[in-house]
Amino acid sequence: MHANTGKILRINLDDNSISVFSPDEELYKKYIGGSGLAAKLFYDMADFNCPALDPQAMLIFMNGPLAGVKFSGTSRMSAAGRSPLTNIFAESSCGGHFPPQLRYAGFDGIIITGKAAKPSLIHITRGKAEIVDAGWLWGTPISTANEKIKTKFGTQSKSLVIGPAGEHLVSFACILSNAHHAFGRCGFGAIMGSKNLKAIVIDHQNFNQSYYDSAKLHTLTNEITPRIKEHIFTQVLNDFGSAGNLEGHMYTGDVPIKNWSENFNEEMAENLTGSTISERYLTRKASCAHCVVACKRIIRIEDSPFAISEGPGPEYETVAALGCMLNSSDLAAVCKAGRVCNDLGMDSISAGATIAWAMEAFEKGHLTLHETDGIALEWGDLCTVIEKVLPAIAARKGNLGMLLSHGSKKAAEHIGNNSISYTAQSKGLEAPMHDPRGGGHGHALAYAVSPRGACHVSTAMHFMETGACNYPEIGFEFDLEALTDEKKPETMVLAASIGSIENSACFCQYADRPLSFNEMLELVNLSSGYGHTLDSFIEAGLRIFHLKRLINHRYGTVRADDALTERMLEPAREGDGAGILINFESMLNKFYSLMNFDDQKGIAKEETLRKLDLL
Amino acid sequence: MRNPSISITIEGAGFLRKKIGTRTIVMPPGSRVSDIKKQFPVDTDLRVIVFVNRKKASDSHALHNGDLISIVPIFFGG
Ligand code: SF4
Repeated sequence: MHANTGKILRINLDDNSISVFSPDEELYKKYIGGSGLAAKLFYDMADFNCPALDPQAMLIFMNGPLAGVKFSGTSRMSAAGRSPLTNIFAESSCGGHFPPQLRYAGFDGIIITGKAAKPSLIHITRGKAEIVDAGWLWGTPISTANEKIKTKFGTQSKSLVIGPAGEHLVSFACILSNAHHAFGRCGFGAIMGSKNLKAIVIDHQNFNQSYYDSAKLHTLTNEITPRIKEHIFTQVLNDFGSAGNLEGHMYTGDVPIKNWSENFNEEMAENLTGSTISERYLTRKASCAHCVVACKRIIRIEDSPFAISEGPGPEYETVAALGCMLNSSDLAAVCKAGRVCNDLGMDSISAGATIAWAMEAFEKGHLTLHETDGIALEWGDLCTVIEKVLPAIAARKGNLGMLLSHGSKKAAEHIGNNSISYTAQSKGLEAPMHDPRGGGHGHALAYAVSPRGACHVSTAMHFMETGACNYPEIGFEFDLEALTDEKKPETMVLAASIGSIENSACFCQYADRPLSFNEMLELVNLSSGYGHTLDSFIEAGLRIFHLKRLINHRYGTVRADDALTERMLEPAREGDGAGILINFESMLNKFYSLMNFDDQKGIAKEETLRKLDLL
Repeated sequence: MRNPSISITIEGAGFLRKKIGTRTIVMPPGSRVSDIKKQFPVDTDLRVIVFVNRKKASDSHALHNGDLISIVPIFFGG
């Protein structure tokens, strides 16, 4: 085997048993790695009757073939399991430095079941693992836990850690790697918490990997790297971070404001955009391993009621979810809210979207002071969000904390009053901060059919619709008009495959934008020796997408679940998309037909499943 | 009598705010959005949308005296 080690750690926390498992080599090629291989192992091995937070629930972390390659945007990995937020298949992707270290330690992934008798951590060093007590970490915020881990295991150790929200089983608790990079979505922090697992730590490892064709791989990465460095996308991401074009998004109506009820706010655009973050608070830039893009922000805020020490700054999604969605233009407050959310270990998208829904419910009288424990939920009041609401959710304390800890869909179902109509989610996963009514109608389709719920990164639609990529090799070479449904279902078919490939090979979707599709294929083949052709690569992407839909169907999803809420589909009130209806059902029908989906079940028909070797 | 020239204000939005800034320029009568794009070429990898008085405008849109032109980069999000 090349690039991959062929070894996956299998850990049962019930009895502290640790073994090494080697999947069939053919599976690596068919499912590429990362999210695809994790989904396949989950499909084959998980107990589908097992609730998300049951001790026997399965939690998988999986590298792609590129983890460890010294090249931009390859230091990512995937997690898979059952989501406590959506109750269906959960997946999430995380960058940083953990993925190559796991590979250098000799493992492609980790499969965890069972529940430790007391708070524990998994400690991995070259070729082996042990389960050790983590009582000394339990209850600590993520930044504190990260510092303590570095003191004990060395400053170069790499970790995955949960915060108090994960310990308290908040449905959208996240996992942070080295207190910066997040497995943000779907509640993986709660899955770890339910297993009494506070952290996974790897000692520093030296590079050691063999590739199928090291010389050619080296030549190719050397050839592409200058192009990545010079690309306009890289320059923007490097100068201003992922929020670098928040202002531009605002003009097109792509940024949801005030719980998706507004689309343009000039003051907000100027105050919260990435260049303002850089000008005011940036102290330095940071990156995932081996990445020349360096889009990560390190910030410090002084002389402000929202002062924060030097540490990770917010990504675009965090700025929009905790700023625009809550109707605040106060950048310092937004940065602080993001920091608090991180430290407590919660997904900032779901947290922001759920609080935004609660603010609207409070305004409408659907939530009263009784249900909010006397806390007035006023638009733009980030002081209350930071001091009261986020800590209450993370601790699942009081009526409000308990209600919101389940996410917006379950909270809305609980209070009734048709408040579900103004949630912004699909299958229970709060939508990311791109509003299809302004950003592009294809996003609506992508949110509805993405396996984990409303998501803009599990497929490549977001990047294809915004013109950020062009793949003539596979027939995608047209500009899409954002505010129509024209060619969106056809694009979605390709987007489903490309997104699955990116998340399985574990390419970063920022850093890989300047790559051609052929180059992505070459990078995977030269490192792993899979020998994929363009056709078989695309087919593998589709196989992975269909497989995740099959998993969801086992959990009971059907076509009716491929839906968006009323709020997401009502015409925008302002901006370019004002008054325009999204032709949602027609796009969905066409996509179903192109994918040969069963109209009721929402999964591919038998002949397609057979063709993809899924039956 | 010849048509007088038109005076328009141009601003860059998003990360083009720094690059283009805000300025007022004089254009010949009959100028269109496509003429503005020629004056402010941006990276070939970048798509831009031009807004006239905050409304999206096509290349053939005719410009008028006093128009506010925003050049907005289309760029994937976070
Ligand atoms: S572009 Fe940013 S997120 Fe992607 S690998 Fe590089 S530093 Fe990490």
